[in-house]
Amino acid sequence: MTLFLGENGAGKTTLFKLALGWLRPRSGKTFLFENPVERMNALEIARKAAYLEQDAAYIFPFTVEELVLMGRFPNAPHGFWNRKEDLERAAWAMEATDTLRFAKRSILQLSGGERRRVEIARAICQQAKILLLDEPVSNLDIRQQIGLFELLTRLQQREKLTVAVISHQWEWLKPFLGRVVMLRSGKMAATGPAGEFLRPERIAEFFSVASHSTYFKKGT
Amino acid sequence: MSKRALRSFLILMFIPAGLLFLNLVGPRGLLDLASEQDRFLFFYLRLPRFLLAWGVGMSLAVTGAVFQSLFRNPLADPHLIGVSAGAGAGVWICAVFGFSFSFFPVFAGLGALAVLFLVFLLSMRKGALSMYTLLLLGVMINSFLVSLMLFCQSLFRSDDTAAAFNWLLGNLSMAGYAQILFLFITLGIVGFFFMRQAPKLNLLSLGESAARSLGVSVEKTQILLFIAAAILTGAAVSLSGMISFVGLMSPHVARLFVGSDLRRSLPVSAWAGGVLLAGADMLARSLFYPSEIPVGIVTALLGVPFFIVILKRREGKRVIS
Repeated sequence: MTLFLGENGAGKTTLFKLALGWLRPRSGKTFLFENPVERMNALEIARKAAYLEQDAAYIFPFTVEELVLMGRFPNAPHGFWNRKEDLERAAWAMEATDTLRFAKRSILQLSGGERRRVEIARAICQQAKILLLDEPVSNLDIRQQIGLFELLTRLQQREKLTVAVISHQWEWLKPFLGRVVMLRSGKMAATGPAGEFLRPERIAEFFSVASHSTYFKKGT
Repeated sequence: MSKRALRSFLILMFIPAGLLFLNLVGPRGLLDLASEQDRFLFFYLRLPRFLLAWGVGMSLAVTGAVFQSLFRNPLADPHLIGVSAGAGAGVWICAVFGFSFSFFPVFAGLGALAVLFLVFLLSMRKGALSMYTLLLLGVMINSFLVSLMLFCQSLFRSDDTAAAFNWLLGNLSMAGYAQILFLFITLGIVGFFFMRQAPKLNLLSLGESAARSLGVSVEKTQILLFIAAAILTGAAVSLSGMISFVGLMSPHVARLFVGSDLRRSLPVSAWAGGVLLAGADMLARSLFYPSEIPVGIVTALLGVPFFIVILKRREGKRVIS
């Protein structure tokens, strides 16, 4: 999994939007699997890359099942009723994300972590090979954060996905992260393996803060 | 749907409809037309009114459902976008300049189109409709035009403007068969379009980001849906005035019974809207017979407690599940 790091306004979300073709670059080109994004329509892009937004606000009490089935849209845009394969795929996705037990419940009744899982299930239904997650764990407690990343790692391995994450929280998620990309002012400032880049000194230097190793001390 | 929910749903939807239908075919109705006068009363007054109530009720209900999803706002109502106020202003101009009230629909239609055009123009930015601007503009145009009409009403007080004012509160007796047919054709075309777009509209109701990430051409879909809904609203309002609450409540009633998926809740909204308005109209005519209460007042006064009752009964069941 690749982590995208940077100060607020550095351009992390903008980068994701460019990757999805939602924004046009002033110069240069964007490619998804060697296809230029500007020549693809919204449906083609949706079949290649799935995006999970930062703070999804739900207004209507859709059930989990209804929401996950909506992930089938890019693969069945002109259909009206759900086909058998759509229902099967949705059931599989809910099972993989441990949300099957919520299938008939309204999304409004679920907790933040549970909603995130539902959104991931929906994204899997798109059958996209790229998953872009924007602050997926911002409102979750540590256990939910780790649980979510464990789920993502499992899915990544099973489905051979490319997962990119924007997150301000990563201290206890280091084991799941492979690469780090650091952004500053819309440019890539540095990139490298997570083990090396997520060291306190490196992070402190990048964000211009002081770092103290205070968490673990020997003796008194 | 559980058996109990299905039962209450059927009771709610079909019993009132059944009663209305019985009223139509019962005493002095379709099967009991004895005299020439009875026939006249039925075919020239009661039947058109009944059909119009259904047509307008269904139109307002589906446009209400579409606007609630488009604007992601459960309080959205078809009159919110200002088109209805435009229709009202058109009618008022018609009255003030002394045209006969049979021209009301024409002026109303023109007024509706004028406001639609204005609101559309002001809300377009770089090929996309700003939903936020749309809603804001609609609310402001509504306030402005309604205040203007009330102001002029107090200045010009006369029989003509009284007719216009009365129409504004909702009047189902002023349309002929040709106009009703026109409404049903519009409802058919636009309704069919809405159903085809229902899956996309479900996605749009999750937010622009979510819809886009799932492959919906957000801008194009929003524009098409908005124009279609505004046209249908204009058509309905130009024949019957501003009838409130039907467009707001029917989608909620539908959602309470069949869920938020528009593929199911749209047709149910339409049915609920028809039943609600036809029922309200029957009460409006009969409660203080022979004088009539404007139907818009009945929908507000009776519709709201009715809705609260349904809400409380369904809410209890949902929390348990």
